[in-house]
Amino acid sequence: VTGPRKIDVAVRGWAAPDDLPLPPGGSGRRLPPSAWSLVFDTETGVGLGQQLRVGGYQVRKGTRLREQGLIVAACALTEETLGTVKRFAAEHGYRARTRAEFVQEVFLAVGYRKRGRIIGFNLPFDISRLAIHHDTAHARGTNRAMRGGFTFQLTPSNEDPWVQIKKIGAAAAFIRFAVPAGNHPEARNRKKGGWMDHHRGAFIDVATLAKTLLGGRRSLGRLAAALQTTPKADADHGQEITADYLAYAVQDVQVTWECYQALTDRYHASGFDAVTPDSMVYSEASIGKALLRQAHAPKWRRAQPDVPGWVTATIMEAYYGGRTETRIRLVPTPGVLVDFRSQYATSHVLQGLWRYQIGMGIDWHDEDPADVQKLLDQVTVDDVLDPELWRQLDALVLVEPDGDRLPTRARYRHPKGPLTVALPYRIGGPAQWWPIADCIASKLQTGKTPGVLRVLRFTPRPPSPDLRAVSLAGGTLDPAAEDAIKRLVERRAHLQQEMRPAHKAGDGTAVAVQGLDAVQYGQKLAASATSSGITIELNLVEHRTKQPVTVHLPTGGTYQALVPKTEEPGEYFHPLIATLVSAGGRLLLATAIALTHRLGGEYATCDTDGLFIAALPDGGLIPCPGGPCHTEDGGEAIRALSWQQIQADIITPFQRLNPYDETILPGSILRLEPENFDPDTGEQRVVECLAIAAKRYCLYTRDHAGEPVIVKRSEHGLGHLLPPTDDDWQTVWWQLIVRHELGLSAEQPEWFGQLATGSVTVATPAELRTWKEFNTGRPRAEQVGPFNFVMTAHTDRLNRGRTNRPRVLIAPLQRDPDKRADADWINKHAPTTGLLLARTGQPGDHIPGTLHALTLAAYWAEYRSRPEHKTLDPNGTPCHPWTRGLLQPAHITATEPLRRIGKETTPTADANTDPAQPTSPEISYDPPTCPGCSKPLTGKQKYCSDRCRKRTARSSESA
Amino acid sequence: MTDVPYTDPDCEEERLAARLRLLGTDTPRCSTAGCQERDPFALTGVHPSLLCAEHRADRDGRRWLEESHTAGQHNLPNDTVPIPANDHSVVSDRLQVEWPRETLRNPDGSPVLRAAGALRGWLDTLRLILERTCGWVPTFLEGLDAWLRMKLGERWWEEFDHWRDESDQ
Repeated sequence: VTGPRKIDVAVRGWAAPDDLPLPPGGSGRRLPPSAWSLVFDTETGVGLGQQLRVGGYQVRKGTRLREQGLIVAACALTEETLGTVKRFAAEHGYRARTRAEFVQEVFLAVGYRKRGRIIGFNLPFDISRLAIHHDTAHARGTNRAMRGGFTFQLTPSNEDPWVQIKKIGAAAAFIRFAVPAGNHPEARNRKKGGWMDHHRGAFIDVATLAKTLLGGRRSLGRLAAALQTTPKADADHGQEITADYLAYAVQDVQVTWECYQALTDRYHASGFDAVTPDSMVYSEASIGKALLRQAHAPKWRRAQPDVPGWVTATIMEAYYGGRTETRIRLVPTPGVLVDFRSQYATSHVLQGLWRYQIGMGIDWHDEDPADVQKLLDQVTVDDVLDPELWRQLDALVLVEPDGDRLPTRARYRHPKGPLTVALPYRIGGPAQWWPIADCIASKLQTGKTPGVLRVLRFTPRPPSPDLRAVSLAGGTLDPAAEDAIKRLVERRAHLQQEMRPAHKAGDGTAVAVQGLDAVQYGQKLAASATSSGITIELNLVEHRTKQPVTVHLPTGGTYQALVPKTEEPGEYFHPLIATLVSAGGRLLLATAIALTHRLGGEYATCDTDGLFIAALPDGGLIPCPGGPCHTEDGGEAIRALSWQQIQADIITPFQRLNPYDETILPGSILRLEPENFDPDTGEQRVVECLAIAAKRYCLYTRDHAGEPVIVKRSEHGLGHLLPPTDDDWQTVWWQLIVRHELGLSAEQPEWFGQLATGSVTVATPAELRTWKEFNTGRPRAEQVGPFNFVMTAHTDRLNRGRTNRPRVLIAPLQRDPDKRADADWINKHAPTTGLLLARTGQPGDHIPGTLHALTLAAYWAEYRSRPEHKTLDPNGTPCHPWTRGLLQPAHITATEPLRRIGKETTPTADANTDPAQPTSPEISYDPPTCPGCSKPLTGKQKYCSDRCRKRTARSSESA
Repeated sequence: MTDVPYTDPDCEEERLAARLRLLGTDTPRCSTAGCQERDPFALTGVHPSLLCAEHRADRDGRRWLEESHTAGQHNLPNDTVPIPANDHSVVSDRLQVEWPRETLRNPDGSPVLRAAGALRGWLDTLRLILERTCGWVPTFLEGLDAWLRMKLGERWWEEFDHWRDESDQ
């Protein structure tokens, strides 16, 4: 093993904007939506501008259809096409309205003046098509929810409200009406002493609702199939407008409505709609918040606004997500996949964190480090399996690392690469805060006790007196008397038991079963969101200019930093709960790994709550470079445990930690996953794992001829690619990787020669600014605007490596994979240089007017050779693309001081995004330094001294 | 004869929605104990301190009856009838505001518009009387039917001796 590598280590920082608002106290009042609904969908052209051409809409009161019609963008249609639309409308009794008429007489009439719901599928796109102007959304006062979003003007009148849209995730957006000028009813209400809040509308994106209630993103067609509604018709966007195309547009609206109805039925069955209306459901966090609102659970920051910054900074420093890593790289490993039942919820229940969730705040005190040191000295894996220990985990520990394996966030690949979390050996470096659970996990893995410098113990304050019983489908839940998370998990299991006979009888589609399924899924969402997600909710707010924030340090110090984005805590932000829950999850996983190692076994990969343990039916050896054992021919190998050993010595011990009612959830909290069993016979089968890097692995079995059959594959790193075929291409992708590694013949599919294309949406004003150069000089109809879809391709490594060479190619989105290469590709950063032909042949050829772009075959080659950067190879050198075998934890020394960062954001396809290496542009809370000499700056200083400013100016001039 | 209605139901809906937003509740009701007034246009103030026009008049020491210009103040300024304050509020704020502006204001005194105003006034009065005396009955009967079906079963009336459909005999 080489010596420790010096590396910058980052921890989550606590940097409150100076005017950070408290969560809403519920003083404002809004009326629920009326019985009116507008369902609409727009059809656009295929150019980059994606201009509105036609659309369909339905107006309903209750479920009754009151009006159906077409939206016509006359300026985008020819006289002949306009005639076709009018004839079609007349024949079918539809109203044909111009865009302006539709906006004024339908959209605003139903959605604003009649307080109805506005329903659509991918609503931000459709609303932005109706706009006559867009701008960056501004926020007034303390309500900053829409800052960093867009605002759309729909009519020229100031008295009509604009619509604000802020994307908050891949499939969710806040949408609301801005406050119009004039004396609107709510303003008059307040003048008379009322407390009505502004009317913001009720916008329902069916795509968002479906993702929350069903899980996973689906197209409208797939959603309709899943919900068994009227099927969606097929048509190419941008095709000539004919009667058939208009019929398709009209049917889309009907399908959207039916999907909406099916989803609201499910939501109603879950019982959460009484508190959170369907228009306020953005993700599973919305369901978790609904539960807490129903229970009148206190909001930590409102209940205890005076928590010192250093306490929150200490808690945030100790926060990490789930543990994901690959241990055995590129070696086919037979074994068993196990996972923890509702891991975060179980961790929450074991630690009794519901006391914190309902408490009126937290208290903290310094505990004698010697006590914790003693606990860590004595702790063994058997102690961790004792539920008593879990009640003592609500403490954070300041550790002086000295060969301990503790979660560490760093850029393991290269200094400008993405930040990832690993468990390296930490040698020396600055002292750092970790949860006590991570210190125990380190002890289990290294056998060495971390050196404890200081211990901060937390205790919950008494429960809020306002707590109320929660009515859920199937009974009530008393938050003051019972652990709500435990009850939700138990009730979900109970419902699943009730559904089992119907599923076995093949009657899974019966209405009653679907109703139960909706309820159990709602309770699953509530349990998982409440136990972790919403307690660490930090919403990113983008700013036009850098904003000053005060960064707090665990030592009690502060400094000012300038950041382009700030983080604002969510309504139920309570980072202590999130920190302890995720640390508990990592401890569960570390315990399973420790039990595996105690038996002499190994694991191939782990992912938050799942672990793939190397095993054979009767045990044995598996050849593996770097393994501690040796085969008969002298090769290195790892020991495979027997299935019986795994059951008896790894799964069964976790029975002691089962916190749930044994009559409902008997047995161990660690379970064998369904992939381990033959679906036909129900018997356990041999499953093999092939892992490349963290989150990149697949499981497969062998058929009678010994050919691999994929049973589970990860989608990580593939989700951004446009599907090259209608078939399950990701399984083919993994099949090829497995066959390649097994040395079997593997014929590449035809689509491997296609361009590797992705699709991006212009979701934020900051992203739209990256298109400024492209949009300059183009008519509005051809400009890339908010929520437009754009197809992207990337040039090969030769081009990407050189300056002034095209890196990102863009073209109008093309659904047909065969036509993507022939699309009108443009260099995003030199749009005036004309169209390019994206070539997929030999990269070395020089053909004028063409550019060699990354093909799926090239991307596949990059994908399967991605090293596990955060580990070392069996020889102790950095992991390379060709590394195989048992990987080793890296040895690192953190440089001082620790860097403080914000939330890692979702990667967006920005100019420099390389499809093979999506970056995560996190917020950096580094203290400002002088550009001339890197000395720390104070206040509003731009340079440390005038001399430094002049010297810097001179050197830049001469350069 | 045409099938054009003399009122615009869409406008009526929008006005009702705006009125509820102003009052601050979807289920407005006079806050005076024992008062059953629920018509949003008969209520004033903001939730939860809503008062019907009659109780407001009572509070302010005025009469419960107000003089209503049935045909519109500009059409027949001296032709008034005393009606309860709540009904007057509904006539003025909900029904008369739907009249065409020309009919309501009649700026040049057209006798035909005056006649139109008189007719609209009577239609409004009849509508108001019907709505406020038996407007609740259809909804009540529909609810009762649903309840009877639930309690006594579908076709409950076949067991009901006091009711025989002629087609059954």
